[in-house]
Amino acid sequence: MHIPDTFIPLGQAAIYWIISILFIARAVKWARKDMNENMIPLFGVLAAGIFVLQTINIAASLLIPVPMFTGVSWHIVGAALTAIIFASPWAAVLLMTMVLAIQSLFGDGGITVMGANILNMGIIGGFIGYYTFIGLSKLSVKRPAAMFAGGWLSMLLPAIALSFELWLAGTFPLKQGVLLMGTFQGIAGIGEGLITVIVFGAIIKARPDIVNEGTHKKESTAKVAAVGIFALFGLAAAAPFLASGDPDGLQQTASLVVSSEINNMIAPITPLFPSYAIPGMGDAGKVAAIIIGFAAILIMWIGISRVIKKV
Amino acid sequence: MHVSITEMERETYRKSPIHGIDGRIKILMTLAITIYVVALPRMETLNFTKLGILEAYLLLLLLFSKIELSHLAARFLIALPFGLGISILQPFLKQPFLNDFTIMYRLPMGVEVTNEGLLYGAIIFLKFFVCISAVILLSSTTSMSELVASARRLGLPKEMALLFTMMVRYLFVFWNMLGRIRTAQKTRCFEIWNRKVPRKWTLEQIGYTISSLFIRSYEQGERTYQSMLCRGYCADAHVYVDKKKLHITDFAVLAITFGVIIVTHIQAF
Repeated sequence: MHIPDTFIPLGQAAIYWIISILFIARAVKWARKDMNENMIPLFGVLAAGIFVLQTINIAASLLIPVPMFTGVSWHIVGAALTAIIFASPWAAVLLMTMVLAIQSLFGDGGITVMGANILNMGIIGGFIGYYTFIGLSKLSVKRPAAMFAGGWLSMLLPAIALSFELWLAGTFPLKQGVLLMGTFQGIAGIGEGLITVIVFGAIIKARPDIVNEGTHKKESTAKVAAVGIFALFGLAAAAPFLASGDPDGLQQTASLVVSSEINNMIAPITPLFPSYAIPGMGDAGKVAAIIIGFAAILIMWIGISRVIKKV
Repeated sequence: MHVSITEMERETYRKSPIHGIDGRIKILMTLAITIYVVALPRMETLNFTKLGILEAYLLLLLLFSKIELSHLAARFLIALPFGLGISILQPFLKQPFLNDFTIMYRLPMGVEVTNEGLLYGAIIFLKFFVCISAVILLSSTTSMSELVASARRLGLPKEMALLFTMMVRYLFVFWNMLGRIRTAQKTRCFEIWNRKVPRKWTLEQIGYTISSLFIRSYEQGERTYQSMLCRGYCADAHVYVDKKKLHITDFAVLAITFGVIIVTHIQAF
């Protein structure tokens, strides 16, 4: 899932580079200051280890027992894993940046588009993977399940981001991209999730001092919520471009099953935003409608959880 | 097809005029060619001539570098798949930045091959191929430590330089470590494609391999870090990079490369 050179025009690639450099600078600062000591040499050595463990081929048939997949293999990325172990998404940003830089020498991912690749695999993968794990742990989901979800999403969301980047670049249509990359990474994500759980279990048994478990519990809910809201709004802004022009399955079934009389009865109840859009605003209207909807649900959810807490 | 990092590194220790060029010059050359190629317009038939000239120039340099052809072929093959896949699909897609399409063939299921799509697919593939050639030329004639030192001389921040120095130094150690683990597993008949053992078990074994590599590299990092502390490493320390003078030949090569880019750009118009 490394974007090669020329698949994203220079202007857009520069924007991704700028975003990535801001994150890398913060990640270096994290390794130097936020850890107890200046851990830069250690992370340099560890990055070499991560590079090598990404070369371990894992058979696809271990996940999907279909003979067709014999010979197809994938490898783990480890963004969620490193973020969870060091209890910080910055660890993932730092390590993935270094691994991607060396991989680009192999022609695996381009130079001009390295920013986009770091954004997808390091930043989105690390942050989503880590905060999914923390968020689910806070909701008292069992640790392996939370970790699996983190690992899975740390593969799936970068694939969706990649589809959007290629679509914005005009290189690949959005729906097909999301479907293709999403399916591929969704399946590989299952493996990533499982391996994350297994590896974390083994590491915490052998070297419990490496894992920063105390920080997992101290992580503030506000941060989790911020990352979650950011991700949801990202998806919300993206959704209208994905939504099909044809009526969705439910509408279709309803129009077949429900007789016209009932339809006439319902008709006076007009929805606030028909067809999920604010009239007269085009695609922007769709985006706005969905964001307003999300915000409304969010406010309701916060309200309900407040009430539940008091009871 | 597989190229290991040790094979790649071995090629960089050959003696040839290209290997002798300063790393800084080679990094600048690669960046210049890559950025120029990426910046070329999306749809223009003149691109073919321009890309052809640049590719010929890069292949000429590769020829002079005396790298084994089989190694080169392998390097190209492993770099191609994703880019090739996306390029091959282009003729069947309607590019969003174009308005008019001329249909060449109609295939069943409503699939249409368009002239414009074919042109765009061909151009994007050639551009990608030239970029790959440039990176392969750089990485198969410059050793990794030389690359990091050159990047540092070109102004890579000292923290990043330290990180990369440590990384490339231990890359080969861990590569060999994984090799030993693999050999040990092979002697026990461990195979990821083996369907006679439970899949869960195989997955667990791979997980343990990964954990062992992770812990070993972490512990190596700890040892290295502690021995660096013993030798006086502190937050303000940085990697020492000796000053290296650029020779006339280095400047000549850089000038020739920029010359080729400029001539390519002008001549094609």
